[in-house]
Amino acid sequence: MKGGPNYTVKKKKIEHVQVRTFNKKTNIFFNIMVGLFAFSCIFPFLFVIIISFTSETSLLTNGYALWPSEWSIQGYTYLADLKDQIIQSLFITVFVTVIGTFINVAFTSSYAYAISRPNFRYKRFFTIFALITMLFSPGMVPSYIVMTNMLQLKDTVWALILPMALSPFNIIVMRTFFRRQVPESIIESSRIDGASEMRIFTQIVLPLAVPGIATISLFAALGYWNDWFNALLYIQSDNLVPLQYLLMKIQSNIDFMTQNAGLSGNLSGGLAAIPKEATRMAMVVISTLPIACSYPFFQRYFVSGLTIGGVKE
Amino acid sequence: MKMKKKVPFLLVIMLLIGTVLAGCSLKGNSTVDNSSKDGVTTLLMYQIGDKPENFDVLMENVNKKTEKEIGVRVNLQYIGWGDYEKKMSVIVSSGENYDIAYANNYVTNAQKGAYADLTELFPKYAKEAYDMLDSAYIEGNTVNGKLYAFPVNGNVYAQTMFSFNKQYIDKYNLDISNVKAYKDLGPLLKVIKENETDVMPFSVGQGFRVLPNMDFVLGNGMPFAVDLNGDTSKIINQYDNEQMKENLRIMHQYYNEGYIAKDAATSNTEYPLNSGTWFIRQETQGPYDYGDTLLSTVAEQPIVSKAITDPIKSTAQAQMANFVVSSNSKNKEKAVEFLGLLNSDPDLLNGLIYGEEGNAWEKVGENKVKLLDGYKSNNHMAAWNTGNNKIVYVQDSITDDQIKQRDENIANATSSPILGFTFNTDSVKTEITNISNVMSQYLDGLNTGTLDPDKAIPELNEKLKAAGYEKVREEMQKQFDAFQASKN
Repeated sequence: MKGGPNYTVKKKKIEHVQVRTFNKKTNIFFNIMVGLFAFSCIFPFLFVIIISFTSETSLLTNGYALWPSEWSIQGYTYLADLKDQIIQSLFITVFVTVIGTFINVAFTSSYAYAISRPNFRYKRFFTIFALITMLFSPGMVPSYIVMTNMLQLKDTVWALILPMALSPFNIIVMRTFFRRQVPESIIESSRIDGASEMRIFTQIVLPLAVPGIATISLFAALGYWNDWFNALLYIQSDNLVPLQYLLMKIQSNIDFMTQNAGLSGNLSGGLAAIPKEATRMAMVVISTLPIACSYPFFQRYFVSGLTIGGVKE
Repeated sequence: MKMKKKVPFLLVIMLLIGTVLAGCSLKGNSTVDNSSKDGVTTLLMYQIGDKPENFDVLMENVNKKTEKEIGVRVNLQYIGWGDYEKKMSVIVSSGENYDIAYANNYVTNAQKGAYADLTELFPKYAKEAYDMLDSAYIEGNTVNGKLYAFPVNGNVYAQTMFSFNKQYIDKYNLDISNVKAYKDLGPLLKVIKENETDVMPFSVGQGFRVLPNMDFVLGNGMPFAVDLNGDTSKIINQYDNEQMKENLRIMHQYYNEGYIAKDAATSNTEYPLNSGTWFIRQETQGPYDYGDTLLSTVAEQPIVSKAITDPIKSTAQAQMANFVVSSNSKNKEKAVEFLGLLNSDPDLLNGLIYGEEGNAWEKVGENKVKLLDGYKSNNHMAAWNTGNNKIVYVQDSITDDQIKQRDENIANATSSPILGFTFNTDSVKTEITNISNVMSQYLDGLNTGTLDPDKAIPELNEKLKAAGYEKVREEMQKQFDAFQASKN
C-alpha cells in the first residue's frame, strides 16, 4: 500500500455559480418590452369590443373613443335581427372548419407519413411534387377553371373545403416530424410482430405524432375559419356564405358606396342593406371570439409543435 | 381489449363518411343550368347589387311571362356591389359560360372581345327597345365602330348638384336660390357649424370629387379633361386649370374652418341619406329623377338641390348601366330578345321596379302608379340598372307637366364633345399606370380640402411630368383630333 497512489482527490470548492440568466434590471426591461408587445397585439381587439358597445350617435359625432360618451348594445340587438343569416353563416363556417380540418389532417398526415418512410420507392418524386406546388402557384384563373368547369364545384360547400384540403407546407412539417419522432426501429418491430402497414400507421405512428397533428390541425382550422376568398370566387347562394365572407361583403359594399358617393338615389337599396358601424364591430367580435377562445386549448401542443418543423431535412 | 382499441378508429371513419354525405346535400339552391328543355332556354344573367327580399316571387312572375312570349327563362344571379368587379373579371377571364351581365369595365372588356357584338343583333331582335333609346347611348357605347352593349335607357344626361337637407333650411330660414358653385356655400355652412353640433355641415369623405364644368376621358380620377367652358377641342389637366384650382382653394378653406370632417381624406363614414346627420351633400341627378322627387323618396325626407354643372350627355352617363351578352353565350339571339322584351314591355318591367302589383302598387290612369303599404326599399329592383326608364310608370305625385319637362330637358341637353371617344391606351399603358399611382396619392387629399392646393398641385404636376404625363396627353390629343375629324 505504501507508495500507492493517493486516491483522495481534492475537491474544488465552488464559490460562484454562473447561472445563464438576465440580471434583474434587464429582466424587468424585457418584461416591459414583451408586455408592451403583447398589449399592442391585444389592444386592437379590445378597441373593437369597445366600439361595438358604443352608441351610433356618439360614433358619428365623436368618432372612435376609448371611453365613449354613450354606451349602447344597439350593435348587438341589430345583429339579433340578422340572426337567421348569421346563424346560417356561422353554421357554414363551423361545418367547413371541422370537416375541412379533418380532411386536411387526414390527407396531410398520410401523405407525409408515406414520403417519410425510407423504403417507399417514390418518396423523392412525391416530395418534389409537393414542393413544386409550394413554390409555384398557378394563379387564380386556372384554379377557377378547374373548380368550376372540370369539377363542377361552383356554389357547393366543397368549393370551400377542397381548395385547402392539402397543404404542402404542413406536409413537409409532418414529414420531418415523423422522421425525427418515430424511430424506424419501432416500425420494424411492429412489422416483425405481424402488423399490417395500415395498422402500423393508425396504431403505432399516429399516437406518437399527436403534438404534430395538433399543430397542423390548428394551422388548418385557422385557415378554414379565416378563409373568405374561396367564398368570394365560388359561392353564389346566400345559404352557403361563411361568416368571414359575410363581413368582407359588407366591407367591400361600404368601399363601393364611398367611391360612388353622389349616386345616393341610385344606390339607396344598397345603402339600406349596410349595417351601422357598431354592428360591424359586433360582427367582428362574434366571428373572432370562437377561434380566440379555442386557442388556449391548442396552445399546449402549439408551443412544442412550433419547433418540430424547425429543421427541414 | 383489441375490440376497444378499434372502436375510435371505426368511429372516425363513420364520422367522415357521414359528413361527406351531409356535405353532398349541402348544395346551393341555385344550380347553374343553361340547358334547354322542352324548347325553353334558360339564360344565366349576372346583376350587380343585393337581392330583393321577395326575389323568388318577382322572378317567378317574370319567368311565367317570358316563357310564354319568347320561350325563355332567366336565372338571375346577384353579385354584391363591392364584389362585382373582382368576381366578373375572374368569370370573364376564365371564359365561363354566361349569357347576360351588367357590364363592368365596359370598354376594356369590349376591346378584349369578352362581349358579343350587338351592332346587328340589337336592332334585329329588340327593335322596339332600340328605337326608344336616345342616340347618345349608341354613340357613347360604340367601341371601335361596334356596339357591344344593351344600354338601359335612363338618365342620359346628368348634372352635379348640391343637395340640401330641407329641415335645416327651414329651421334657419336659409336662402339657397343663389347657390351656383362651391364658393356660394360658405355662409350656409357657417350657420350649421355654429348652431348644430351633431350635424356635419358638408358631407365629404374619401371618394369625394370636386366637379367643375368638365367631362373626363378616363373618369374623374385621371387628369384628362375637356373644359366645357373653354376650348372643347383640347385635352387638359383639370388640376392645372384655374376654375378647378379656385374650387379646391375654397374646399381647403372649408376644411380649415371645420365644415368638413378632419379625417375626410381617409374616412369612409357614411352620413346616411335618411338621417339628419348632414346638411349639404353632392349628388348627381338626371331627368328621370324628376327634380328632387326620387332623392326625397329614398331619403324619406325632403331634399332640395341646386345644380352646379350643365346638363351634358356624357360617355359616363351612356355607360351608366349596360347589359352585355357574353361572347361565349350559346343563346345570343335569345338573350337580346329577352332584353328587348324587358325594355319594351311595361307590365314586365314595372313588376320588377315597383314590386308585386296589387301588393306594392296599383296602376292609376294610363302610366302612373300609386304606392301601397307593401312598397318597401328591399322588395323591388332599382330602375336605373334594370330596364328602360321611359316605360316605367311614374308615381302619381308627378304631374304631366313634369313629364313634358323631362322630355324637353332631354331633347335640349347637349352632347359632351368627348361622347363616344374611347382612348386606345395600347401605346401608353405603363405611363397610364404611373399616372394613376401618382393621382391616388393626391386625389382624396386635394378633393376633400385636406391639402393646400397651392402647395400640393405644383408637387402633383411635377410628379405627373415624371410619370410621363405629356406623352399620354399628346397621344390622347392625337386620337381625339382624329375622332373629331371623323365626326365632321
